[in-house]
Amino acid sequence: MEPVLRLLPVNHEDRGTQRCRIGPKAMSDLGLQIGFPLQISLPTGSCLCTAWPRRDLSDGFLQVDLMCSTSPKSVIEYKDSVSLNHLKRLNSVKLKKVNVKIVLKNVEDKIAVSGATLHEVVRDLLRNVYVLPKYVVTIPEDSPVVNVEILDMDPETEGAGLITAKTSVQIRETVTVERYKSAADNNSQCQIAGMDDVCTSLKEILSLPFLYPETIAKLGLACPKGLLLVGPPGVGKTLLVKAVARQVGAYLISLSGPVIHGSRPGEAEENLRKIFENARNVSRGGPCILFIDEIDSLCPKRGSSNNAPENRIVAQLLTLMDGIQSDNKMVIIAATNQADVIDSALRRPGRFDREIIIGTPTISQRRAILEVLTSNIPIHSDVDINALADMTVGYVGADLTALCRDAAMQVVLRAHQDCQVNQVRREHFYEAFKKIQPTAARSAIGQVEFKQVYWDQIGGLEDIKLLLKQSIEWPMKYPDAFMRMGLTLPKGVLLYGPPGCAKTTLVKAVATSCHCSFFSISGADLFSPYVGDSEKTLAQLFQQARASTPAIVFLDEIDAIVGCRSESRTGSGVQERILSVLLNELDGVGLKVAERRGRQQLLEGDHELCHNEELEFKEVMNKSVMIVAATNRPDVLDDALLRPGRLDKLLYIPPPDEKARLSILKICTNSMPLANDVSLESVAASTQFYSGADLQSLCKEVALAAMHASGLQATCVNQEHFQQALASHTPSLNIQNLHAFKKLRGHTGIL
Amino acid sequence: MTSELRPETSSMSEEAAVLCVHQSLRRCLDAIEQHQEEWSGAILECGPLVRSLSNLAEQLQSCQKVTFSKTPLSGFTDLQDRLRYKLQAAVDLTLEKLHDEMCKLQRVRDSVSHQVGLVLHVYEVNGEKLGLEASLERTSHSPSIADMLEWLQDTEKYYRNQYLQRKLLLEVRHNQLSDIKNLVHSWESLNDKFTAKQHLVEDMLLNVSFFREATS
Repeated sequence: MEPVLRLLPVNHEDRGTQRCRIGPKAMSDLGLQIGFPLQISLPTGSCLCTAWPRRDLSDGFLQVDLMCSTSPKSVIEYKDSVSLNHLKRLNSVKLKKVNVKIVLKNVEDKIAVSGATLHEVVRDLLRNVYVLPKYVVTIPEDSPVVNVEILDMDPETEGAGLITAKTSVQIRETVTVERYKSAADNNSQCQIAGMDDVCTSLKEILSLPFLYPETIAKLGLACPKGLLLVGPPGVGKTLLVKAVARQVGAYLISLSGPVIHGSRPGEAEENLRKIFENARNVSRGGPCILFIDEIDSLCPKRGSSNNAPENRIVAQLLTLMDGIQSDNKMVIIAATNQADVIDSALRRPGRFDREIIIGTPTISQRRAILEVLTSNIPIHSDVDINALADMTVGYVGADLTALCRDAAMQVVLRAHQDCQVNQVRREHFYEAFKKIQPTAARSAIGQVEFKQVYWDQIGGLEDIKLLLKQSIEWPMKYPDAFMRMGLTLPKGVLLYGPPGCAKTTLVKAVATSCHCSFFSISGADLFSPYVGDSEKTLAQLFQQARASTPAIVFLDEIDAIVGCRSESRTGSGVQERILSVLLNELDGVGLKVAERRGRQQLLEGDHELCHNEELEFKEVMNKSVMIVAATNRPDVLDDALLRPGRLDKLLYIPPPDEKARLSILKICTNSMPLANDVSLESVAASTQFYSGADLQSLCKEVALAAMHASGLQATCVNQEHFQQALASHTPSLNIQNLHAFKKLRGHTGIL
Repeated sequence: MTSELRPETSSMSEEAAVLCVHQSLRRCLDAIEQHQEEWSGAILECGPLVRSLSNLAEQLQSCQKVTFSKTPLSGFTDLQDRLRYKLQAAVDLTLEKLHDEMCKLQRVRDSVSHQVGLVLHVYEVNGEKLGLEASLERTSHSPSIADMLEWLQDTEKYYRNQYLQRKLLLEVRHNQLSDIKNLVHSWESLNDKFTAKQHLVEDMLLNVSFFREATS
């Protein structure tokens, strides 16, 4: 067994000497002479030392001076102990040349200490120090140089390089300590995907002034100073800024509401000024990003809010932003999810020059995000990223992260039970998928949960089912065929027919069979005592639906919601206003700018830019929101709603004929014990004018009648019971009713 | 015990190696004793120079503050410029003198570095023959080789560090008078700060005095 050494803190006098104190026995075990280089591997990093015997010559202890280690932070934890095979003897090689990156204490030093002096200082500090490539030498003494990172050395050897008086030291890079620390802090976890175009344009804005300062000066350009990122929560705005800052090598200063606000009046402005001053100082040493997260809370519109302190903050921010000279290497990026509540004075060139809209990710973006997220999770080969991306409609980056985390958690929990699963499989993702709801759905109106209904649970109506599939399911599943045939997608479908004939159930089946978001809205959600509230709710519903396309919006009993303009009323009622909103949403001029998703070309009507790839077709479909409305009073609907381009497909759901009634009865009596004498055919024949709902209630009555006749111990249902129930039950449809529908069908000429 | 079992030649060569290292150690220590006198002498001489430098800086500062036209000296035209020129020249002169002293310090530093480097080299060459036990052996009148090597390394580092710090302090610019004014404090504090290490060299020399006598 290897002897174990206990780690002790280093003696004060050994600090900065690169010595490590070990016992003489360990030294002779390792074959070490005094002052030989020694590499010590610790769990959190490794360091390079020279071996020295302990003063008291006792064994079993290890004291390490971390002057030269893999990370500028302390890599040691004193509670662990180290075994001898963590210590490795290295050969020493005198270096000819070494390239270094130096970290200075502050910007003043960077400017003040001239090149020659700095070079001499670094040479002096590194004298007689053993180094390895990528190791960082920490200088404990009071000197302008804090860290020296060894970039590479010549000759490249396995052994430790000793820097002597003859070694030539080349300074490749000089940074300040805060910049260096911030770069070291976020060296991982900042990966973004699916935002390549946004990312590139952001990087361009940030890096152009640094890369081509002369060109820009020659052209007399003022570089953009401000950027506004707009997008729904969780879409990755903050992460994007962090990642870009890292890629450009910029120092990121975050500014948020709580940091600014203080108890005294005027304190907030003072803090704001301080932060800007700080950023200006930092920007003297290199690129700097001042990031204002959730700017909507910091700078609300001045006119509307009657709040003096906030107005003062807005005014101060405007002044400070105007005060940035364009030669300052400083860019302000703000992020918000409600661009319209920001003070409009901020949104002009010279302040926030550009606004970048990041929408809910589309399918290919989701796939890219999932690929990045799953890249460091052990994934079983049965997981199909494409299918996952297809399923996760309306999920933003944060949701997808949660999904992957939850899937991995499933593995951990399972592994606890049977100790052999160590790969994330498809079922884990599906399990997680059930739990994680998209963020957009958390506050959504019209988000519903319903029992899944399959097509075969609906009796009869075969031609209607086919038509529904054609108009709703096909466009989502086979978009390529639609594109090939030059078809535009139907905007909406109106189901009408007498009550109780399975209109709602059909819609449920549609929602079950095509995987898309499903929103259902009724009068209760819409109507409110406040003027304008109902319209806003409806518009918001459509906005949410568009954010999570493909989506179906279901308006049940649409006649009650929208009404009709042609009636004798004056046209100022809430129903008329809702109707106008609905007409606009169905076939308006365009989409709001803030709702942009994916690439900009994918706006409405831009079909020709798509390539022959199936995914691209799906991207096009991504912007489709299908309206499905149901009513039993199609005669009171407004004509504008029924014209092509709005609810352009009108489907009459007829009352069931005899064959359909039979299949409905079969489905309804599926779980009922029927006696042999029961003839469902005869029942179906004698139930003319019965709707589907009537038949269902008839079956209930029959079962109740059976229980009534033979007590709670009833075992089966007889034909007699059917007769009884039929006698007491009257159909809800009548001939005039059906006649009216028939007339209407003839009138509109559809179906 | 083990040494008795070794062949005669090996123990002979071990003794020779010890002797060799000891001799080079003694030579180095002798040199350091001389250098230490030189060093402290130079530091002592620097003291008044630094004080006068900061004094001059204060005068310069005051000279810039005063508006001569409001004083009885207003009769002398361009007095301010002349005075400033004179003070500047004095500052330059003092800096030059300090620079000479710094050169002495640098010589000490370089020489000590060289000597210590030699000793370490000798140790490295003889290290194989010497063995770890021999280099850890302490006697009543002589510290172990390991101890002495450690002290030498510390000494060399001390000289190097001190020189670097002082040199950085003297890298002043003429336009930053307040820095020059504070120079005397930082200069003194450099002595104070190293009080723990201040007597490092003297302590080491005391520690090894018996050893030096024994091997001379």
